[in-house]
Amino acid sequence: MDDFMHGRPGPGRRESRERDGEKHGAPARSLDEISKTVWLTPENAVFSSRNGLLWLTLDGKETRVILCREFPFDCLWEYISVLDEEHRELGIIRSTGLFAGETRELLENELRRRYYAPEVLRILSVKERYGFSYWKVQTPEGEVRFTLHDTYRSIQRVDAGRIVFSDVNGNRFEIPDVSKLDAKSQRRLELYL
Amino acid sequence: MLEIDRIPTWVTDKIKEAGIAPQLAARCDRTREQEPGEVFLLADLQSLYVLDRESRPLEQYPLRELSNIAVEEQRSTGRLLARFREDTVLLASFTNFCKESVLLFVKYLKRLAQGEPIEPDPKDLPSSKCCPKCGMPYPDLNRRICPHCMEKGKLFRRMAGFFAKYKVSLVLILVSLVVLTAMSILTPYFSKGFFYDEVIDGAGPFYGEILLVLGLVIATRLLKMLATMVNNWITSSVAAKMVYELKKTIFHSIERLSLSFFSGRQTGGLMTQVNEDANTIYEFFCDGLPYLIVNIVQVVVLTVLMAVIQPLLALLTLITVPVFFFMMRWVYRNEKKLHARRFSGSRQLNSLLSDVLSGMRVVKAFSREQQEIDRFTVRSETLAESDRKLSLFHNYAGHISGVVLYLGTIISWAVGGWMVITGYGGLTYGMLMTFIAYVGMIYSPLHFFSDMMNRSADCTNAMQRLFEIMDAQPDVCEPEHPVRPEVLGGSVEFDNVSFSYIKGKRVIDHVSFSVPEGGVLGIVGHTGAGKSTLANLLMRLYDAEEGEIRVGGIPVRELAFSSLYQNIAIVSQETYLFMGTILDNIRYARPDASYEEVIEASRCAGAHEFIMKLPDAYHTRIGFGYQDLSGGERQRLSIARAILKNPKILILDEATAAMDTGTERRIQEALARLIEGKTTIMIAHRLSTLRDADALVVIEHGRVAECGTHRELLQKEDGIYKKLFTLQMEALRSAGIVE
Repeated sequence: MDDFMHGRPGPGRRESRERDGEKHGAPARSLDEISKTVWLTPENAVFSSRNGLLWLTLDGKETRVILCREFPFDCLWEYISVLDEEHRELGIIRSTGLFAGETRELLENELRRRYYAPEVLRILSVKERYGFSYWKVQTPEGEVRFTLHDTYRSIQRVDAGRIVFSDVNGNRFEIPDVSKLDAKSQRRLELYL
Repeated sequence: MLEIDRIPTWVTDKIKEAGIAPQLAARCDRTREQEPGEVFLLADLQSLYVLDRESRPLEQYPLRELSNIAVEEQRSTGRLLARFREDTVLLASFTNFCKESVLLFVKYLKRLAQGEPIEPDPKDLPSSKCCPKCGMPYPDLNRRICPHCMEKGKLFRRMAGFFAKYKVSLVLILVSLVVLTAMSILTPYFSKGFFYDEVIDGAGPFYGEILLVLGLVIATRLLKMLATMVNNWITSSVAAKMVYELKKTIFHSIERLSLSFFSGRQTGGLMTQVNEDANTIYEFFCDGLPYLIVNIVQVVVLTVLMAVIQPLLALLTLITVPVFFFMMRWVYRNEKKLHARRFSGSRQLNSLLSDVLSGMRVVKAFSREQQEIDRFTVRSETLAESDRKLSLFHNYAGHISGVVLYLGTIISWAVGGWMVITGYGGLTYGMLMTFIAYVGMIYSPLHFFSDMMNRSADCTNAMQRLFEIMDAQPDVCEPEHPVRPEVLGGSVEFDNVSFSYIKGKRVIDHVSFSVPEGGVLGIVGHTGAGKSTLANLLMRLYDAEEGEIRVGGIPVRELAFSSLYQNIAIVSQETYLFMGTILDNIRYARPDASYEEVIEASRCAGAHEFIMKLPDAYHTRIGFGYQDLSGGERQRLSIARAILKNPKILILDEATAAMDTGTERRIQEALARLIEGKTTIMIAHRLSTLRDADALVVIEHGRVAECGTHRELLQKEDGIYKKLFTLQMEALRSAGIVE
């Protein structure tokens, strides 16, 4: 079995891989090429969807691509890095708004899917036992239960109001603005901030 | 059929309808478009099936066209992608709740695709993912503990077994506490009830015998003092021993484990846990438990005594007890919350402080002082605020509980006073005074009970962690009958070795190479390609999943640990020096080495010179708070350490990375002397250091991409090594350092 996706790095280790990818990029790229950013626009890039996946045609070559937000917490539709299966960067989209109609929708849907993390609307209960905490929350898709290990470290405060939970399974849950939460939920959360 | 997840009836119906007999099934909780929904993955020897919701037809993919299948991780979700012939297809999407199942599906599917039958690992069965008692899925699959069914009783019994050898001391502690309590209960009777009613009262049988009362009071006091002293004496002598033993047990259990145990956990937390847990457990068993028993006895005895003195009065007074109890629990809960907040505040402030202080050079260089001061001010204010809240709460909670406490006394004063005056129930003045003293005494055990819940929960938690560490099985074990060759050969062979740290992410993939005795092999590859993992595998810090590693022709799995470790030494980029003298650190590998040998080794490593410049030469203490050594100096010490060990096989893992050219030269010389006549494996990404290797292996994505000598590899058109070499030379040239 040939392994086209072997050793795929998790989201956390991507940076180092990208750097390495540059070193090993086939064909060999000189230092000059590496430091030059390719900006993708409707003029040079054509995006399409096939088999449920996103493809990019650039310089006459079609590649399956992965979209990555460069600043995931504040630029949802700007600065989108376009990577190939080996996580080598093919170019950057400055803003999805540059693309019109269907393409824009295609890109934004792909990003929405990739960065999907349920929003926590209410915290229904928090139970702490033996180093783990068990959360029952209300999300737009219904009630969800998740478990945090080492609760303090699993709850990340991104900026003033935004909270991100990372559970034992690697799921993420978000609260966009803690101050907009109801009083009870805030009280339940407060202890861990 | 191996059901990684249980399949519902609608899936069974669909399977029947299609007339297939799948051998493998797993569930995804998203549709392909990543909407919520149920999708099932099925497979038999010929095909892979996707059953996307009830309403859609079964999709079929022939396995013989499958060239690869893998999970692509997204942020909170994943996608299963497969390549059929040359086309990549999205098979399914799922949230990370289902990731484990899908990874298992992939693992077994790969076996099916190769025509192998499925032999499920019992760990992978769905039944092992749920608590056998209550059927709830384990919250964390890596730690199969059900929070609802954890047997606390079993934990405590096991812990009690640990303390069994302190039985006598524990019984003595208990006895002394009982004496103490008995005396506390007697004191008010002698000094109040007995004194007022029998001694100074004209009608009393002991009228006028003040000396007797004095004697009794003094005797109880003395006994009480004696019991306290005995108690303190035993507790303090046993405490130190117990904590020491607990810590020793924990540390011993930890040392025994393989490296993989540590990579799965935060090591820093582990060590503090050892200290805190030992204290928590000790406190509960030596402090909490005896007091609990004594307090229960005290409450019962006091209640009975009060009821004997005057039942109605006792009833009226004890009404306040439940009120007090629940109030104390409320106080503790709130206090705990406030403490936690204060703790988190001070932790944040401390981390900011250490962050800024250790990065002071950067702060100054970018003139960010003001911003750092602002950041500090904000956190400092938060801490001050939580401090203020805590002391405020302390203040009013103390007063309110005081009022409730006093209420009981007031009731007994009022009702009791009325009873004494009217002569109701034969209550005498002296007995009322005794009664009031008892009312005061009954509250302190209650105080204690309200906190006992928390303490027992903390202790259970600590014990759970302790036993988890004690019960963990090391992954890398010495064989039952290890081979101990008198002389171990120096050749190294990797035969089709595969390995992964995390399931499904192969780091080393079918790697084969061999080094003859005395040969020098260079391993090249970019960061994260798996070079250091090869070293870890050779040292048996981990065991290979597939394939075999042989040293001197003997598989490492069969070798005794001592035979292996005596013959291998590693000099790596991160040199760890222990706290102690330079001499101790060099002799770490061979504590019996003579002074001559140590000097010889450091001279070889080029370390002797700088050691002699240090104030205490070889006796200079290094480590936290002592002499600071530079990176190059530390490196040379670790080389001296390796030279002193004089192993057959030497691993140099990026030994000269992150060093200036001058230092590198000197260390290169030291290394050249070190590797003479030894089998050497050199790992580097700076290729200039590898020119002298007999052979080179280029590792890419965990596989051997190229191998040959420096010359051979450079002749390869479009070779990775050639590209790397050219790139590095170019970089050196542009920096003005041409080698």
